[in-house]
Amino acid sequence: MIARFLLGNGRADGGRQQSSLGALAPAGVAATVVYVLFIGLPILALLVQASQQEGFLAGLRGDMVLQALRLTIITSVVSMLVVVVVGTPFALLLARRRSTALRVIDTFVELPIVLPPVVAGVAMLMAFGRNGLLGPVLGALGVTLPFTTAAVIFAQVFVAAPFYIRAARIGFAGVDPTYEEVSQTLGVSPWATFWRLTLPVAWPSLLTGLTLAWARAVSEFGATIMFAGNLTGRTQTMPLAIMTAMESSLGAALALAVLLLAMSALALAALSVLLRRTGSTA
Amino acid sequence: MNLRFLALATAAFVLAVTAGGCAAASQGETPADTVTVFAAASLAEPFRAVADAFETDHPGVGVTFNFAGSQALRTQLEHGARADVFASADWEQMAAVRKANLLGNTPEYFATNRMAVVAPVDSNAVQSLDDLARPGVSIAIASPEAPAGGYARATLDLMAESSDFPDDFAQRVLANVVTHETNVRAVAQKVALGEVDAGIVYETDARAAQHGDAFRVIEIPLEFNPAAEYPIATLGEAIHHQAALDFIAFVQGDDGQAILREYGFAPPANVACPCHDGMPSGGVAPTPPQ
Repeated sequence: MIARFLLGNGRADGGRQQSSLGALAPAGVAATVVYVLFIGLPILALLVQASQQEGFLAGLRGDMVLQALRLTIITSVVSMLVVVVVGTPFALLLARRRSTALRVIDTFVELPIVLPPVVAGVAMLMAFGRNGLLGPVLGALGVTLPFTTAAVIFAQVFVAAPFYIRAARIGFAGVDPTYEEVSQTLGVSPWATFWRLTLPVAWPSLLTGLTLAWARAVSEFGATIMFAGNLTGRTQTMPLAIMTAMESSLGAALALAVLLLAMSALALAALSVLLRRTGSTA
Repeated sequence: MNLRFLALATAAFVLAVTAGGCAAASQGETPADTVTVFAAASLAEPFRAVADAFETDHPGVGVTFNFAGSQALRTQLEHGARADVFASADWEQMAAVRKANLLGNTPEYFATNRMAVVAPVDSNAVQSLDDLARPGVSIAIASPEAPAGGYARATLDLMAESSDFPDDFAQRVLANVVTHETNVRAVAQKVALGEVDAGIVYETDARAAQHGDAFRVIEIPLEFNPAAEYPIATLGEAIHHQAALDFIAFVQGDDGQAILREYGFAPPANVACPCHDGMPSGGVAPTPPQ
């Protein structure tokens, strides 16, 4: 029955014939059930425990939770602005030009994705810390980065930007350059071509990348605690607050965890709605 | 990076995690005589040395450690972590574990520590305790949940109460705090890196060899510096109960105490722990009943 419920009578490619998986179908169904339980059970448990936890509602309204929520939203939004402003032209260049230098850069763009975040944090301390490589220069300018809200944004941009850049590059690569050339021979300026042709076609990729990058920025922990420290209201984002609260008040920790879960789920839902809408007009 | 690479990387990752998990699982079943000790971060070096001596003394018995902020260890124990011995940097965390009915015997104090202010050698911002309250100074301390954070705040409060310091001394110092680290070692690390002007750590951290000459130590006078007392106990679920008791006895015995002294710890004023389940305030372990 589960098999019928899961498989329905459609195929992923839209074909209306019965599944062509054949003998593999039972294995697929079993794997799906195991996987959905594996991911679903902890999330369900989180919600159930939170709803029963004393101090959960108080935790939701608690000062630590509200400050962490506010800080997380502000820093992640600023981070995404930076990522879009810098990442978009960068991704466009990567998608349109070929050179040895760009190929090397292209290979290393995704390094922060595979790098443990705590390594990113140490690396940023070594670069931007008071005794870091740029420390003397920053010091002379009167700029201190570690343990400031700016450091939180640095950490988020560092770990999250590749998710956007990768998706944007793929999106731009999917736009046929001949259309852009035609558009420009017809007298449309390169800027207008970008806004009216390239951007709308690549839009779903950009949106997906931005959502993933935002989710990664919101969940950033390792680099932040290393480089930005842990201070309520200034550098204590939601993941850091959860970690701190786990050691004092489980209610507050669960409240933060549920909030973070809701934000992630909302982002995914919004993305799917937006993609469907652009999909139908494209 | 293309898809095939990503797929390969993912496969490798899953394999590694599975292998690691299996290794951990088989370790969990243990060679029948390994004592698992959850110990406060500040005990890392002395306890490793104590364990070496203990293992020489008790052939066939091994010791493995989990060092972290005592409050993090307490949380792990409350959530089902298996261990044989818990050594906390304050009474409060031990009391919480006892309240959860997780202890196997009555906790006893085995060492005391004091707090000290450390500053990076290459920074002149903090020369005296008064400098801690100067605007613009950046300070790292442990989070209030961590014992070292509690002791640091208690010390500041005692200073503020005395006539040597302004009444708002504690508030002004706390306003200069730029980060609440989850354990005292992270505080020491941020100072050693020179990223903050000062940190409040244990004296044992201030004098620890691994930091070499990275620190200038500013002592906190005894009148503002109550003893940080460390309790130790076996855990109720200890699989290796006898070995756990042996380890504790070794820590409290002459050999263990000598090693602890080497690392700057003082012997406990009194081994008996207070028999209450919490702390009145401030995070300072109260003196045991005389």
